[in-house]
Amino acid sequence: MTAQNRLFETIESVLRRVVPDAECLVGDLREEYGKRGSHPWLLMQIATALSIGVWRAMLVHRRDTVSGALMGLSLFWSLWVLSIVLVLKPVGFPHAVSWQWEHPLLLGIAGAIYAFCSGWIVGRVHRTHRTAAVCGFAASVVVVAAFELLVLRWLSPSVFFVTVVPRLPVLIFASFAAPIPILLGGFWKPAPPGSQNRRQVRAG
Amino acid sequence: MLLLAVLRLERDAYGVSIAREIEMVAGRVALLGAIYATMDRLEAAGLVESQLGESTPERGGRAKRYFRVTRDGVRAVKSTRRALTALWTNIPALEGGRP
Repeated sequence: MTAQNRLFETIESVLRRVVPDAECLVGDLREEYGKRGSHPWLLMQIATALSIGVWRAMLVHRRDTVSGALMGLSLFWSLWVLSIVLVLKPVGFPHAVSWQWEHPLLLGIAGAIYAFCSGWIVGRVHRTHRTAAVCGFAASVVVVAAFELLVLRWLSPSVFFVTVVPRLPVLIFASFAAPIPILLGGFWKPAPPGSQNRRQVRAG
Repeated sequence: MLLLAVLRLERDAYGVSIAREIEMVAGRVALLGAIYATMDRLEAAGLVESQLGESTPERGGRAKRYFRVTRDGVRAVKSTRRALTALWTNIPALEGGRP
C-alpha cells in the first residue's frame, strides 16, 4: 500500500463517520488531488465536507444532538464534582477551586480525561446517531463556557474582573481545546453499525 | 446552478466533473463536500437521481456517483428560468434609466 493509498484510507475512515456517501466523495478527492497535488486544496475540501456533514447530522437528528449535549455536560460536571469530593478533599485540599487555579496543568490533564470519558460514554449510548450526539456535546461545551462567563460577569462583576479576567486567555484556550478529547472519546472505535462503505460490503 | 451543471454534462455528471464545470463556466470554486450535500437534498426532493458507476485506479478503486436530472428537476429548472427572465425585464437601472 502506497503512502497516498494510506492517506486516502485514513481520510475515508474519518469522513465515513460523518458523510453519508464517503466512498464516492473520497474517490473524487483522490482523482482531483492526483491532478492538482495541492495539500491546502485537499485540507479545505476535507474541512468543508466534515463541517457540512456534522451540521447536517446535528440538524437531522436534533433529539440526539440535545440528548448528547445534556448527557455529556452532566457526565463531565459529575466527574468533576466526584473528583473534588473523592480525591482532592480527602488528600488535604479543602479549597478545591483555589487549588485548581494554582495547578493549571493538572487541571488541564484532569479536564481532558473527564472530557474523553464523557465523550466515550455519550458515543456508546448514542450508537445509532453518534455523530449528532458527540458533536452536539462538543459544541455545547464551548457554548456553555461562554454562557458561564457572561452569567458570572452579570451576577458577580467583582469576582469576574478580579479572578476570571487575568486568566481569560487560559480559559478561552481550555474552552476551545475541550472538544478535542470529547471528539476523540466519542469517536473511539468501533464505527457504528451500518456505517461501513460499499467497498467493504462488496469485499465481504 | 448544480442542476444546470448536471444538465450540461448529460451522462458524465459526477462530483469532479460538476465541480470543474461550475469553475469553468461560472468561475466559482465548488467544494466537493458542498456538492454532495446539495445533491443529497435535491435527490431527496426528487429533482435528481444518482447511480453508482465504474471504479478506476486513479480513484483508488472507489466508484463514481453519477447524477441525472429527473423530469421534475427539468420542470423546476424551466420554472426558475421563467421567473428569472420575468424579473430581469423592466428594470430602469439596467435599461439606461436613472439608477
